[in-house]
Amino acid sequence: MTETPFPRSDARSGPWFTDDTGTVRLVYKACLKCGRQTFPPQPYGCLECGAYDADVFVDRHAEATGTLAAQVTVHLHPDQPTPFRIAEIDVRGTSLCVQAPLASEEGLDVGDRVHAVVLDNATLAFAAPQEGRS
Amino acid sequence: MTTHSPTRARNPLRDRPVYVVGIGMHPYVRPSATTYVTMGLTAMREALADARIAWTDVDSAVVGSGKIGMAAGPTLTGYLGRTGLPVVQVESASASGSVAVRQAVHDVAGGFSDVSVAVGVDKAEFPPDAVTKAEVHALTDGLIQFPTKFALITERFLQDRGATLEQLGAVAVKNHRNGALNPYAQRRKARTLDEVLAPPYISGSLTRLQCTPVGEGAAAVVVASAEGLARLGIDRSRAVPVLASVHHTQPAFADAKGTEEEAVTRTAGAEAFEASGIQPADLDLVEVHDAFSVEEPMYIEALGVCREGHALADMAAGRLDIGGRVAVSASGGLLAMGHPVGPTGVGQVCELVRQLRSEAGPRQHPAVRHALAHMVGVGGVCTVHILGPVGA
Repeated sequence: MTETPFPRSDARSGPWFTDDTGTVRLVYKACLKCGRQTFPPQPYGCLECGAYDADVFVDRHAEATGTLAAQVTVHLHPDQPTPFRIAEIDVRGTSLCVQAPLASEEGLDVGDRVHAVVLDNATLAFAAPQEGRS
Repeated sequence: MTTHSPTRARNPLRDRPVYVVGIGMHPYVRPSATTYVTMGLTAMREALADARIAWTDVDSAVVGSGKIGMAAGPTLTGYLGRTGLPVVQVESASASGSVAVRQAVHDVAGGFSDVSVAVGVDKAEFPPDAVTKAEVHALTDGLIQFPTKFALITERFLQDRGATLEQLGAVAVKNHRNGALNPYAQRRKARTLDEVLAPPYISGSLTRLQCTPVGEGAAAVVVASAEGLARLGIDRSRAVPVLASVHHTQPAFADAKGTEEEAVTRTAGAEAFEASGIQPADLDLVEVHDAFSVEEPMYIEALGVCREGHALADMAAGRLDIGGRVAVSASGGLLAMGHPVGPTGVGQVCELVRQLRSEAGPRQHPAVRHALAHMVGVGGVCTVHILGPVGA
């Protein structure tokens, strides 16, 4: 893989990237004024205190790994094939809880460790660790 | 940051009381060929007739809608005749109708009008929302619709409480039973627990009968000052005072507990109780944003109607039934009466007024003196109205 520049979370950039080592990393915002971490990243301002200057409202990134906090199977959706699974994941080393698709059909329990996997259609999903290491 | 609450210090309703003097509805129905104009006019004409006043007596009007688009206000009210009155359209997602009521109440409480009409109306349409236009991209763009958002909340609720699907299903059983008694309800059929819990599943453990239906309709209320009542000879014995009319966005993170919907419900509810001077225990009737079964116990606890962790037990004991300690979702709620968006919050106020006037027929809760209506909406907003004993 060629060098991946660090993504600025301007209005059109994505919330994740793959670094030089092939590790998937989540992009989030950290406010140096009030300490609040927020996901997804956005350029507009801190949801806690409103700070928006680039030197206090900054991009951070963390390895896309964490703990499964909740999961459901979506059975009905107007424009997506079903079923598919959605989870909430507490991201390790941050105060963030992110919502993401689950790559695996079954077999995960709340409290299990999960890692990010990049699916064929270039979307990010989470799966049990052994599935996350391709 | 701390949560901002200017109206805790100022409550114009204390100095200039506002009364609901007329209510009107177009039933909530499945997507139909009826125009929003027909539905809106039906509700408005019924509300004016209920108040026994004419359109020419109305000083201002507010149209609440989340879906039908630009210029609904003058298009709709134009067919009542040209009087030149100010008409504005307001939107606040699911709480659009609730904020229409609040704007009408504020217009009268502020002394700008003596008589104002709030009408909520919508068609079962799904126009693009402004949230996605912010271009803030998550990992689930286009994947999480409302049922999935609340299916995830349901999973956490069940984990945290050690509650069962049967206990949550009982919410829908109660509300479908109430809706069967409401001629304006979209779903008018009592359901057993087995029926409520039966597939099809929409998302997670949420079955179809635990999710609000897609629908449309209209609801209207006429509000007036004491001067308006006197000048127009409105029947004081059927006028219902508005004791609080509160709208909040998300409180500061430090003040937030639970989901964003619970957090904003807690802050809006606290302000409404302070403004009205009544306590949660004084309430006889409550309508909440029960679009999904899990929401009802969340909000009645956040409002203090039930103690934290006790809503499902109170429900199982019948304390939240019509005839119980406090009737919750006597109309059938969003689960059975329906949630056409613009009309929903106005329709809740119509139900409160009907119950406070003892005109609710077979679903009448006995001796209703204080009643509360609650809606939340996308973006983490919440509107709360508290109405008092009938009679001006």
